[in-house]
Amino acid sequence: MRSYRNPFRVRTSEVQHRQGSGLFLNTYGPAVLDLLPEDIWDRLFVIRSAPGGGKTSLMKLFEAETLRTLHERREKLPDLAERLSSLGALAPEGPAVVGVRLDLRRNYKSVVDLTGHAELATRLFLRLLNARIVIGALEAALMLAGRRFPADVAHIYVQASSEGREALDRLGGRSGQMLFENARGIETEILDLVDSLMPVSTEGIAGHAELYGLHALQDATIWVAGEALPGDLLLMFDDGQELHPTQREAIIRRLVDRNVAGARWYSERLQAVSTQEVIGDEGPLERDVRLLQLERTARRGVAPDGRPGARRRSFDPLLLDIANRRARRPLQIYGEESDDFNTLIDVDRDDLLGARPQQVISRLRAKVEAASGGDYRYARWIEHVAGKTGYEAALAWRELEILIARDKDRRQGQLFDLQLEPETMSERTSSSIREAAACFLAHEFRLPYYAGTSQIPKLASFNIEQFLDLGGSLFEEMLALITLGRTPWIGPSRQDTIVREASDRLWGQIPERYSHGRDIQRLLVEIAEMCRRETFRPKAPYPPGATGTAISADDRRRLLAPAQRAAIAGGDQLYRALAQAIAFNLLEVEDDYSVKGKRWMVLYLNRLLCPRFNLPLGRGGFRERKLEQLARCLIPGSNSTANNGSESDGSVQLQL
Amino acid sequence: MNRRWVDYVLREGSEFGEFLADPERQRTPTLFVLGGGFDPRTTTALEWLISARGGDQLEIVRLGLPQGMAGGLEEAWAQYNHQRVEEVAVGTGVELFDIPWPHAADAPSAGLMVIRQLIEEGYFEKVEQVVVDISALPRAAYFPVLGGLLKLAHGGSFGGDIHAVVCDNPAVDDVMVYEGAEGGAALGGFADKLEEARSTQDHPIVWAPVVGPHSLAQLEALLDFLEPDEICPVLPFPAANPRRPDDLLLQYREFLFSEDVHVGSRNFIYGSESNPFDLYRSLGDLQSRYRQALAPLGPATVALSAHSSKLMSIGVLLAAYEHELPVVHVFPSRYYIVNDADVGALGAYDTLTDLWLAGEPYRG
Repeated sequence: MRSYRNPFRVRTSEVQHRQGSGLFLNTYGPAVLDLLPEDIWDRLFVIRSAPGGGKTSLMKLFEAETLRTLHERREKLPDLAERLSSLGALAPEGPAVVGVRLDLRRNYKSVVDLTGHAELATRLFLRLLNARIVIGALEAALMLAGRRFPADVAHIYVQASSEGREALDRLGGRSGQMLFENARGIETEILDLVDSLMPVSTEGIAGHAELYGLHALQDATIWVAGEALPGDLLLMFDDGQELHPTQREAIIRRLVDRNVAGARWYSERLQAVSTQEVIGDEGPLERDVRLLQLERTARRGVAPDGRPGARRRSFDPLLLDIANRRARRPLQIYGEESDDFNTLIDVDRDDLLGARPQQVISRLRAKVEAASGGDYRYARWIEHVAGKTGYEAALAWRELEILIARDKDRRQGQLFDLQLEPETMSERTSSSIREAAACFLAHEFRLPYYAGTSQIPKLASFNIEQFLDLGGSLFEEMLALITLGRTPWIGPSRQDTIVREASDRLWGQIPERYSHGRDIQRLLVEIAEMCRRETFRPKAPYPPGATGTAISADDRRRLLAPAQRAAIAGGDQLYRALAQAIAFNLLEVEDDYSVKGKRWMVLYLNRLLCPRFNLPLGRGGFRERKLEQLARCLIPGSNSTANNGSESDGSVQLQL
Repeated sequence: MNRRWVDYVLREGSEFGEFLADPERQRTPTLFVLGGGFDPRTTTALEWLISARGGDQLEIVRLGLPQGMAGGLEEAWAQYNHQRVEEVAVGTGVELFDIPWPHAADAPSAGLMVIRQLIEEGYFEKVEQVVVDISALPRAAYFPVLGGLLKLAHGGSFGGDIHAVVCDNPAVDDVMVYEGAEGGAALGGFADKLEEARSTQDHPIVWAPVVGPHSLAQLEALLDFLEPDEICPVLPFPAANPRRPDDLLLQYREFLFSEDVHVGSRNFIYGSESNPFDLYRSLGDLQSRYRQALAPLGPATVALSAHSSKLMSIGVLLAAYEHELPVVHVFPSRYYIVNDADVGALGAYDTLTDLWLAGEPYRG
């Protein structure tokens, strides 16, 4: 039997590592570059996201090897080449930057444990980092010159600027060979100490006070076999969450320095940011730093080509573009399929009603007629909806049921009972109410809901890896259909099932994957159960539905203050679980939300968790919770409101 | 290369104490190292040993472990174990030393700090036999402790005998689960030039994970960390349950045959579930085969990881120690007992094994 490859299951880094940068470039969606802010070359540029947000891929795009490959294939990848050219990373004659990505996951934190002296530990860390900057720069230079690393390091000569000369001398001199040997020596010396099973002494071991690698190489001209490399150095420090807080502070402080002229980027997962910062959003960043928070920026929408003032568009088409790029070739090869991935998951809304559309519509109509109780007030509304057919009819009947429930509530105490004209329907409804109606309809009749190009990208929660994982599951189904000799189009029911399975998988992985995972689950259940209660009320009070909770600014301050937090039963557990859930994008934060004169931190459930709880995917609806209520669910053996299913607690209801 | 443990000494089940409690050795000054956590197997080997040989010439070092969740079953078991070790020590006049779990910035450093402290404070200087009970110790602790001891022995700084004992109980393993798998790293003392190999990316990396149950998140984290060029999963066979390798294959089929991993059918290797020396041999053969075959591409790094039972993990430790192979690991944030399981009732399935790793049988 023929074996198929699932292009969604190949991680970006893996693609590049194993198969070179060609395939990586083929699958990279250039619209991601629209997320980049301006001024990323002359100051520190910080990228933050949850795991899978696309930080590393973004940095890999600017690595020497990738840029060189892109230059060689620029005719095949004109969109990407054009965007990188407009950003200044690619020139007509080749890469315009010498991109070096430094993986900060590699043993730096252990250096702190070598010595009890914090200052010495930081100096050793900087020395190791300098060594790796040198190794990275030499490798990138040889890559751009088409030579082998490390075999050809002797062909390199570094000509530092007058400011960088002293720093270069500290790193081993001007010859590539000397620089390389010195750097490797440092790496071996420090790592051998770090990993020693025998007692160690750091006496007599020198460290570095500065990022000499940056100072020495930022304005330097690198010669390879007598040819000067065009382009300035771009140092990209990746995965800063793996550094110790003192190291993180040390590196950021040095990178922020405006006296450093070179381009330097730094990325970290949200978990690197202290719990105080994650919950409190109090970053140490200064005004001279450009910050890109990938999920947050994506949530706000993308400005095409990064043009200031340009109308922002949704992140969803970008995700679908990535899916199309990944799936296009395999679909052509395996199934001789000319349709895009998009088209193959697109659904006709009438198909959502399955095999019994008339039965569904009749039952909905009967429910509305029963709700109206024959009241002539609604006769024209009913008449108006009765003229519709198919899914439009089903949706309109369910929408009408909500509107009648709302109208009955608001007319209590009114003296005159006027018949409502069809026009008033459109005045009283909204796209959110229609979305709530669609969710109710699916829930009550067990119809597919999580399907189609409008829903699938939403389930990504603005996280590319999460989207690729879901795309991979859908693509597997396409491969199965191809194997059976069928068209790889996936119907809405099957899509809905696949999405729900993915949702359950995400849920099941939480304890195993994340610290405080069980507490995170308890917290999420508390929030989700409350959302379900609020969402499925007859009047749909939070259209399209509540999918999050909110903590007031005062409560947030109490949570951040150790003494006040300690006074709350379960407060410490909540503090940790909340920080982890936010850091890993299981809860999405919208800060400083203003409702009814108060400020709130809104916490939305990750969209891929919504199917597990039958919740809608639209944003906007949430219900606030007091700190004590949220913390209570984390006390072992406690019966939270979510668990005992108790109803309203008298708190203020928030309507957006 | 001559392999140190081709001929080995392993005693299990009813033969467990054949050497440890041998009347001739009862006067041998012995240091017993054990963990201080909530694992219900914490005191099994110690109690057996003391009942068999008495407390004469015996000292105990208890390594404190990170605390489990307050108020849960874990805390109750930790208190019970703590009290039980003290009762045993007081009852037999054995001196008990407590070494708290060090505050390490990086998880892999903690075990290194423990072994360095044990060496610096002279715990091994007055004894002729060290028994490390790994039953209740995490890999992050017993890999560096045993690795350091072997280094001392083979470097001539310790002339006595080294035993690793383990109370194996798959039923307890099944209810003791970890939480958090957020990043991989080399185990303390077992990095063995892994980072230097990754500095120059043209050196191939082969990864041999010894597969066990409930480890998908760990395997994925290590795949992400290592980015290996080749993967050779190790399955337990022969095993008490002959279907165990099949079950594991089924459990991890999506991972093992995914696009990222894509393990070929010839890449699977097998190691005996009950004999870590067999696994040690298999891993030794594997590393030598790959290093030779890949030599034209540069010095290959064969990295190991142990997701299996603790008994099997000793095979990983010995192979890594002897062939200078890195051992990678995901450091969980904590362990817990699943669904308040009645772990006390599972004690009936305990099997004790003694692995004699250095000393008399290996001399000359």
